Amino acid sequence: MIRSLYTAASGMKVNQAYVDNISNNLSNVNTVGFKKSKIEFEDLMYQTMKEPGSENGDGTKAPVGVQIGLGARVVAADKQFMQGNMEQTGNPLDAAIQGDGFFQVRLTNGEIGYTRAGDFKLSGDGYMCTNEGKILEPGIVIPEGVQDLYIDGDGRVMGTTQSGALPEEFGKLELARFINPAGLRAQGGNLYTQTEASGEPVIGEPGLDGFGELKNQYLESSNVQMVEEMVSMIVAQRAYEISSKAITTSDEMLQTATGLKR
Amino acid sequence: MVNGIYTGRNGMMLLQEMVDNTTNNLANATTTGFKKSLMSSIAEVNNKRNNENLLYHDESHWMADNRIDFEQGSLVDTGNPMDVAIEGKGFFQVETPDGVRYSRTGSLTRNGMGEVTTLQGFKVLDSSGSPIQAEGAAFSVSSNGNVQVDGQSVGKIAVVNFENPQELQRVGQNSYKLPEGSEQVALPSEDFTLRQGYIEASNVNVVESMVELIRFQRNYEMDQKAVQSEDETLQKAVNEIGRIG
Repeated sequence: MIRSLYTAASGMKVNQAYVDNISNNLSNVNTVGFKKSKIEFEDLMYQTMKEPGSENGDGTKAPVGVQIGLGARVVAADKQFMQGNMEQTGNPLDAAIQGDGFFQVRLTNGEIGYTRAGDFKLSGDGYMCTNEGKILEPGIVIPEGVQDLYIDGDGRVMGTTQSGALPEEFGKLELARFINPAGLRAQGGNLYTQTEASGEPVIGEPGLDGFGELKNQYLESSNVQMVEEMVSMIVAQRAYEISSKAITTSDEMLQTATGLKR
Repeated sequence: MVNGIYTGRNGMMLLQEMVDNTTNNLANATTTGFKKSLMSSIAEVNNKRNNENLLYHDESHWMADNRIDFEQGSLVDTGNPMDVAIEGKGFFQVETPDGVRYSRTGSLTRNGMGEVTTLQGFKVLDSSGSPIQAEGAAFSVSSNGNVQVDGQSVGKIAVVNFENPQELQRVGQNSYKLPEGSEQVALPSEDFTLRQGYIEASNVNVVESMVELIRFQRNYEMDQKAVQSEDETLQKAVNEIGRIG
């Protein structure tokens, strides 16, 4: 009986985590390059009351045993690196990755961070950087007074410094990809860092060797699907309620048992 | 007389276990690939004669078993290429630190070495028992388990089944094992389709479980009343019948 109280509590706990995760997805529904997480659960250990194949009182063998489970827990919040929709912005420094890969930026601690958000800006000294001022790796400097700036499908940043001149190349965007992007650590600020689970980054050119192509003047919007999250929220809330009913039931039964002795 | 009290007590203890079981089903109502447990009880009631040929009521065994209900869970579209659901019969074979286990949960991922694993990090095996190396961007799984990465075939996910899957024991972490000393072996399943981009939802039916909870609770109360009235009868026997004057 006490067992079912804890089992039901674990059920409430996982569904609470479920709602936490949905809320985070929903609050990032307009975050550029955001990738939703999917939370996954697993059952806890089982208490074996009777082994299958053990002998019954009358000498027959039990074809099935008795195992009572102890609830559920969260096993993973799995980042879903599915493509988000492309949104046209008209901004020449915006780039979206259509396919596999991450932009690389230099973090303040010297490590490399990875991001899908391609809404780049220029720093005070002309470096292409993220909204938070993290400079792209390898660094690309765009001189002052450049006109007709664009990024081509291969990642070359082009523009003209004098009117009438041919466009020249200021640098080239490189992409990184991972065997297991779901194993990256989300750092917030649209950034991910490498972990043991993600594997080593493979660096390459956009559009080649399985890397995604760059779309200039587009941004990749969040891949959160509102309807999907709302449906999950309903499921999570109902599952939460129903585990709370199991607690009430156990509690009332305990009360009944206490009522045995008057 | 005293027998009746024990009968009621046995019933109450059994019902507690049944509530525990239903609660576990409910706690796993949102666990991918979870299969609910069905619990049943059999009361073994015998009217026997003892040495003096007097009739007595022997009711010693309350047997309960819980079988795993392997009914198909509904397939939910996730659009994630690493999600693979089994439609039909069978299990994935996964390698855990404790040996080979069987699982229906196909929320897959890859580890840093590029091997296909479950979210717990258990390697998913092919029919020869080796992990599947799948490095590359485009990951696809055909309906019979062939894994392709960037158009190259890299292995085949094995889906196995058992003559009597009821013998499987639950070990948590969405997986099952064969009990020690089992004579069964994993056979290739013949009746399945793998669906990429789907997960198999838990097959717990919450309405059914709620009705079970109500039923168990009321039965529990009835048993309690039975114990109480036995107690009252006993009380009368002890305190009133024997009174003199």
